[in-house]
Amino acid sequence: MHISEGVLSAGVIATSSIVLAPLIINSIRKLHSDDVSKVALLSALFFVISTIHLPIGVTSVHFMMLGVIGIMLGWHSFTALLIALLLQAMLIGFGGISSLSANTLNTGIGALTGFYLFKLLKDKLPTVVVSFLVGFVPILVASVGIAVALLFSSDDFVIVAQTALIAHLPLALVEGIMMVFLFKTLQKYQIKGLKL
Amino acid sequence: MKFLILFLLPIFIYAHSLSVTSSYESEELFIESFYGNGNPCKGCSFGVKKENQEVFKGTLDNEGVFEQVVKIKAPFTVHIDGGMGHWADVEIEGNEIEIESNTTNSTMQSIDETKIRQIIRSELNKQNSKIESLIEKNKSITEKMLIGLGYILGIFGLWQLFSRKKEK
Repeated sequence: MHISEGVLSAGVIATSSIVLAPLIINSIRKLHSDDVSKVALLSALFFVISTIHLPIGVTSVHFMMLGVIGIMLGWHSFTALLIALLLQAMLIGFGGISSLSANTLNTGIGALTGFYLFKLLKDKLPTVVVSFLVGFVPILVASVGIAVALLFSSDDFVIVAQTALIAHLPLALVEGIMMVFLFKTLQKYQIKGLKL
Repeated sequence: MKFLILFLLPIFIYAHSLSVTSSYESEELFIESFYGNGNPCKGCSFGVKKENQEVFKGTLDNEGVFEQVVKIKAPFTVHIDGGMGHWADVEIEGNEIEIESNTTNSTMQSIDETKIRQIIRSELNKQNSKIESLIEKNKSITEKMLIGLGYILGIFGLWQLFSRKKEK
């Protein structure tokens, strides 16, 4: 679930843009040419996977795969997500240009959480638990980000913010389970550079 | 892995985009809105904005359609909110021929020619909107996704090209 065009207040747009700008500049400056293809691949993954919706009651939420994006890209997740979200806003009318920075920041922080969770827990907990958490937690973090951005924009969005949080819980569970299977597959084929 | 494949079956794929077609003729506002997969935007709310001010709001029916007499002076913008990040706008331009307020002339028994033109144009506009709507529905979401993937390939391809040249 992304935040639509014209929903956020000027203050939230400005704050999220100011926070996001150095993260993007830093990522672009540090991105090595060998990693560009990896960023492109995961940007494409997010762009496509976001069109797969999980129906929940009268509403639906979409897959994000922030855990995979996070562990594969780390801080470069922001760049991959910015490009994917920009194209989604322009081509598919999903999200918006004014809410682009907030959406990138929310999903990027989610992906980054996945990256650090994986880094911290991979040697301490069984792979099944780590992989589930890497799928589960980033979605929750992103949904909290959406809720916070909405709450800071207007008091009228309290119910929408609550819905965003609740609607993402089943998605987080599904992504957590998917990550368990994905990790098993990646481990089986020992994808280069992943070090699972 | 079978579990994963189950979730990637097309039945779970929902198109994101929201499309809208609209016409306004003889004070009759017609709106039809649907998602990229052709499903109607059931019960979606919409607003009519004129000079950034909302002058009318309503909801679409179960077929994603709104058809009602609404007194607004064109031009204006129709904004559909499909919820959960879906939205779409359509601009309605001003009529070239103003509608006359008194169309019945007690001395004339026959219908005025301008009125006949208006009636025909109104019906044609409605039909045009429906045809546009059908054309839009047939535009596949896959097409838009492929365009997006093409952009990603292009952007990062150029990026890699320039960063490799820079490193050399």
